Amino acid sequence: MVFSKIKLPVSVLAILLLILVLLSLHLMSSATQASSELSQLYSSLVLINAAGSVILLLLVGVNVYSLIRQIRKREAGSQLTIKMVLLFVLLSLAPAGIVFYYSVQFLDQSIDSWFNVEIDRAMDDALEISQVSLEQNMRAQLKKLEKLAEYIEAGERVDIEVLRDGISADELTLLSGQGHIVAFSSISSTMELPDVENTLLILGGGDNYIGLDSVNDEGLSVRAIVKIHTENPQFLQALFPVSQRIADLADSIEFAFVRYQEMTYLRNSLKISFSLTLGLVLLLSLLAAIWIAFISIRNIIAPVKQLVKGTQAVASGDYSQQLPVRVHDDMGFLVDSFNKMSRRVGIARDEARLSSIEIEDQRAYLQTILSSLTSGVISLDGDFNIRTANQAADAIFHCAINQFSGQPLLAFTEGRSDLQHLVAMIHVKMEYANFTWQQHVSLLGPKGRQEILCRGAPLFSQSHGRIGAVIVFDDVSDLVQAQKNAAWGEVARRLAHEIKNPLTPIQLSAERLQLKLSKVLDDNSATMLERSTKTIVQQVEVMKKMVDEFAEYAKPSKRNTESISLVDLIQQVVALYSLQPKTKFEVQLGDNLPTIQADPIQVRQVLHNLIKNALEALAFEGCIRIAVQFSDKKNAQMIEVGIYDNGPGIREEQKDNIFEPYITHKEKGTGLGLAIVKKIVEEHRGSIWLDTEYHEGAGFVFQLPLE
Amino acid sequence: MGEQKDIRFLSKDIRENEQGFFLDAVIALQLTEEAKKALQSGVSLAWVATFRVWRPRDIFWNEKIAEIICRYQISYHALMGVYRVKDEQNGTETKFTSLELALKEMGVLNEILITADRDAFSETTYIIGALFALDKERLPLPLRLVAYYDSQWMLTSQWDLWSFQK
Repeated sequence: MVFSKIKLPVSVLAILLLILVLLSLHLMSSATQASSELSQLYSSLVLINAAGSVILLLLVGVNVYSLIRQIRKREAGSQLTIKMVLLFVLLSLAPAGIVFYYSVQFLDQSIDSWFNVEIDRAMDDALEISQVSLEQNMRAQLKKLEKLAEYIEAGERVDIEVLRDGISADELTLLSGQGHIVAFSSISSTMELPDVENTLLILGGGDNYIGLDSVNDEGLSVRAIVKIHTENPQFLQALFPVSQRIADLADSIEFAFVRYQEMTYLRNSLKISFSLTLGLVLLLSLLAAIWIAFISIRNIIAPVKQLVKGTQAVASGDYSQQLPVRVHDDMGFLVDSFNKMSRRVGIARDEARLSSIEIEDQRAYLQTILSSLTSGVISLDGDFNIRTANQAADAIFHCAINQFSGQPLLAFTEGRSDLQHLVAMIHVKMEYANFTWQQHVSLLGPKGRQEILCRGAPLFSQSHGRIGAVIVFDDVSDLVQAQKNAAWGEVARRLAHEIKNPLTPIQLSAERLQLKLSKVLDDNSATMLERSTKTIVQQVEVMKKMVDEFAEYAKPSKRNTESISLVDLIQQVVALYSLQPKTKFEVQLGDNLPTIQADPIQVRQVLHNLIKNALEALAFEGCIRIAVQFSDKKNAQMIEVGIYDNGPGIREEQKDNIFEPYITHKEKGTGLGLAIVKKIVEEHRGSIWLDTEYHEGAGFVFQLPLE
Repeated sequence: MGEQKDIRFLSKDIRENEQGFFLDAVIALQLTEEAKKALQSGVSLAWVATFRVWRPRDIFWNEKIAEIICRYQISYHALMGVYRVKDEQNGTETKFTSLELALKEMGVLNEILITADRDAFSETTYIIGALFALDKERLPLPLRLVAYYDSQWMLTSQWDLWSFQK
């Protein structure tokens, strides 16, 4: 795994670095002991430790920077990391700081305790005693040498060995003014010449010199030099022995004094040095602890981070997230539990999704069935709010009912007064009917009268609670109309049979009466007979005509369809009536209107009948507006023609059955005009209705399909 | 920060004799108060005189062909009240009753053998460098770190460079 490949070198590096730092600290600690040979490496070790501190500081800095970035990005686990790091630092800093403080205090006090005024004075006194004692000795020796010099100055010939013996010196040397040896005597048998190179330099121009010296590192001697004042000045140098006991004591006192003086001088430096070493140890320990804390916390937090990422993935719907279980501790158990949970949730989600898809399929299938039904279906919930409605329902009620989904049933009746009665009836049925119910309702819709067969069924849950209802609507207008047409056809057939047949004998009998009796009656009676007979014949003719027209209406017509321009036909028909002086025609034609397949004679009759009705309604004085437009609704391409007048309009009680035969408000009308119009339009698979929205007169609209 | 004493080469000379090339130099030495105090408190002060010979090169760094290091030590003996100057090259030790004399004596460097090769320095012009400095690494351990940052212990000359050709 990549993780372990990266982790291993970091761990090894950390361990190596810590070992090196500890080793360096140990060496530095050893080096602080003056006797240690490592003291020569002290500066280098301090430098190495300082470099180690800098490296650790950089590592800690990098980790802190990384942590700050994580916090700013609000990464998972960053807050926990900072809390743990702070806790770790606090826990390590507090005891280490306390130990450091008291260690430094202890060191300072210990070092200070080495020195005090009494020891200072004792050391000074000891040195002074040594110096006084030696000085007395030296003065005595100098006097001896001076006497010897006076003896020589007196010009006496002397043996230098005798002189040396005389003053009990170890070595006696007579030097010329230039520093060359003139005579020399020594107690030593080696006869090695003395080192007189610095003799005159030591004298420094004076007449005599007395001082302690160590010759060839063989213990202390008293060196005495005196000038011999002769014509050619000479110098006499003697080395007197100092007793071994005194020499040893002096050495010991000097050594102790020098060491004490040195220690006194180095007191502050020593404190600084120890404090620095301790501080470096503390700093290294702290930085190492913080760095290890970062590494440890990162390892501890890693599973938590994974868990957070996992829960975020689950929250966003990704249940396939499986976290690796690296260790089998509590965190490992937690991660394993998370994996099991997300796996189970994922399975449950998949099952739910499958169920949902299945339900959706079923719903789509049901929707397809409902859409293909010619019956309108509306489903309601328990509060009589609309849940669904199929397309047939929209067509029956001439509005998109689905847009009122979730709203009360009454919502889609707003502005539709014709539907309010129907909906009120449905409400009553839904409130009280526990079983399937059925109701026939007539309503005057925007396209005329509609016969609606309405059936409803309440829906119950398994606990027998009412959860809604389904209402099915069938527009049975065509069926009812067909039944009516069949009835009228039967009436026409019977009328033709029962009425028309007696009319001919009546007419013939009346004509015969006039023929036979006009000759035998006086003029007045003959005139009256002629007038009555004429009236009978005329009325019989009228009745025959009426029966013929009715028969004509009742029987199926023969159509000769061809491609015609409805616009041209309208313009031709309007031209016939345009001579009416007090009637104004307004023709509004849509653009690029297509031709239709229809019987021109029958369509012309439709136009004639409707225009004629309008003219009669206007009493030939007013305005007739004819609007022609293309209509493409629900994939049905039609030409829609509206004929509107500004006459008195249709009375309310006539609106329901205006297209029924023998329904007329005219004195001389047969009541078949609109019935014939409706018959022709419907035979062309078109539709005609009274425009109930038009209130300035009467308005009729018919639609004819293009094919 | 205390005063900084000047350590500089007053003169330097290379001469040739039968044994080779020898260098004589005189150095002006002054101690800071802190160094004097340390010396009089028993701290020995070790000194290093470094001499280097480089052959100049056009492209690369100059080539170091010789380096001579001479060590000296000055100490104070309280019992005798003298300053001792030790030449560690030959072990000779000289005593002085005053510090000035001791420093003056230590600043006189005579007959330091640069090279025994008498054909040296004939090829081209060479660069000779000389440095005289306190050896801080031989100070007592507690004083070493202080000596690296305290100006009182900045007892060193600048590199004194000059050209030489036989």
